[in-house]
Amino acid sequence: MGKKPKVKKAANSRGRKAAVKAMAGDQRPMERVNTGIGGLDELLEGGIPTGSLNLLAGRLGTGRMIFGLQYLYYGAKEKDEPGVFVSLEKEPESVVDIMKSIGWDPDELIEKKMLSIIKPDMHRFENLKESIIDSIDRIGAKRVVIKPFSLLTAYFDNVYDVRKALSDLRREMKRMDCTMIAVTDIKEGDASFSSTGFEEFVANGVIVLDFQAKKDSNEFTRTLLVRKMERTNHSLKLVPFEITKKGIEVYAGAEVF
Amino acid sequence: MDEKKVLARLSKVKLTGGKVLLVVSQPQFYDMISVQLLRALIRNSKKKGIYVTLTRPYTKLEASLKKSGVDTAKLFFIDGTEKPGSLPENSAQVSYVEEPGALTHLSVSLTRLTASGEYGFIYLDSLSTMAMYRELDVVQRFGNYLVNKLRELEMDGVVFSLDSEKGAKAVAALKPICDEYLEF
Repeated sequence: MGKKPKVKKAANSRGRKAAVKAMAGDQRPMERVNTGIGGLDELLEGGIPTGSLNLLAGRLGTGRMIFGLQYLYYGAKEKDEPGVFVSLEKEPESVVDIMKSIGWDPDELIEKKMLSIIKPDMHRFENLKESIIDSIDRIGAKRVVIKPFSLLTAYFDNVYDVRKALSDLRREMKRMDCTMIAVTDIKEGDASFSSTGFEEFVANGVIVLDFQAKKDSNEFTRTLLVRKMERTNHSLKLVPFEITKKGIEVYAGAEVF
Repeated sequence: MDEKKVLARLSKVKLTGGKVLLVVSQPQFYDMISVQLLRALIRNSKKKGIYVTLTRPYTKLEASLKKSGVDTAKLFFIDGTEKPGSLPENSAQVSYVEEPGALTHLSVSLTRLTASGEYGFIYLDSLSTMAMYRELDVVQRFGNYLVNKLRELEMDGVVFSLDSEKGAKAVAALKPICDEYLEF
């Protein structure tokens, strides 16, 4: 093999400098979506990058459903950003009931076409994707939540197809300027954040909700970690959160002991 | 040391805003020290203060402090002494954490309260009780967290510990990062 051309070396050097600048935040401001989850945006330089696909991973009972609904409710109510909840398991009526149990009024938002809750036909991935895109188009949605995202992987026989399909979905979100939260399940004892273990590589961001139990204490704590968020100088601190009467509240200034 | 000497030493303590005291005491001076320091903190601060009690329940503590002339209306209490599973309702003057070792919950309560900017000082009673419930490294980490929070928010703070074997190890770790160390 011959020597590397000088030009290429210079380009690499520029690339590294740009990467360093980007890490230091020395770039034009990134457009971000405020999550509406109290305290979370502090950890994310103000919010999730617009047009990104983000995994919300967690074990049973960690508050993922409320997180997703709060994200949509806040967007519709406070930011004038319509949202779609794609429910692959629960009936839309059940989702409405959950929102009402927290004190949110989804009926008004649904009537004003600021919120849509759908349970699409799941025969083929392409049909499902089209249903989601149609729903986004119909109300001009800027926010989408899919739960459980893990079910999408059941369409495919191999990891290559899963990754390709998810990459397509990610591209669609970006094209439509829509910011997605995809809720995945973590089974007890699992090390990955999704069912195949590959969704997290395709996603632009990964937020993990968990329970912590300390060996020297009876205290159980709900915790949140921003494990990955592209183009964001995010905190890597494990922080406690609570499910309050107003929804999820993240305490960036507190610590897990 | 007798009570006169303790009082004389306490009268020299200056709380100027953003100062953290670490106080270790024999059990017989416990009441006197907390009353004197709380009076000084309330006198010096234009804001209310937060009293974290891991030792005596709120109702008894509040009555006792009031009887000793402490203006308890200037205090908000976080009580970690009640039985888990049967915590009383939070009120305008007190909130509850499950047990003295529930340090994450305590950290959340402190974060929530101090975010309002309403409070000028924190009194922690006590490091020695905390050390009975959690491992030493966790107690030390909490101590560090508390001192850093006080500095960040420019609040005064008193970290109190009874003279005990478990408390002594936590005190030794915290001593270098506090502004003043008092031993009675």
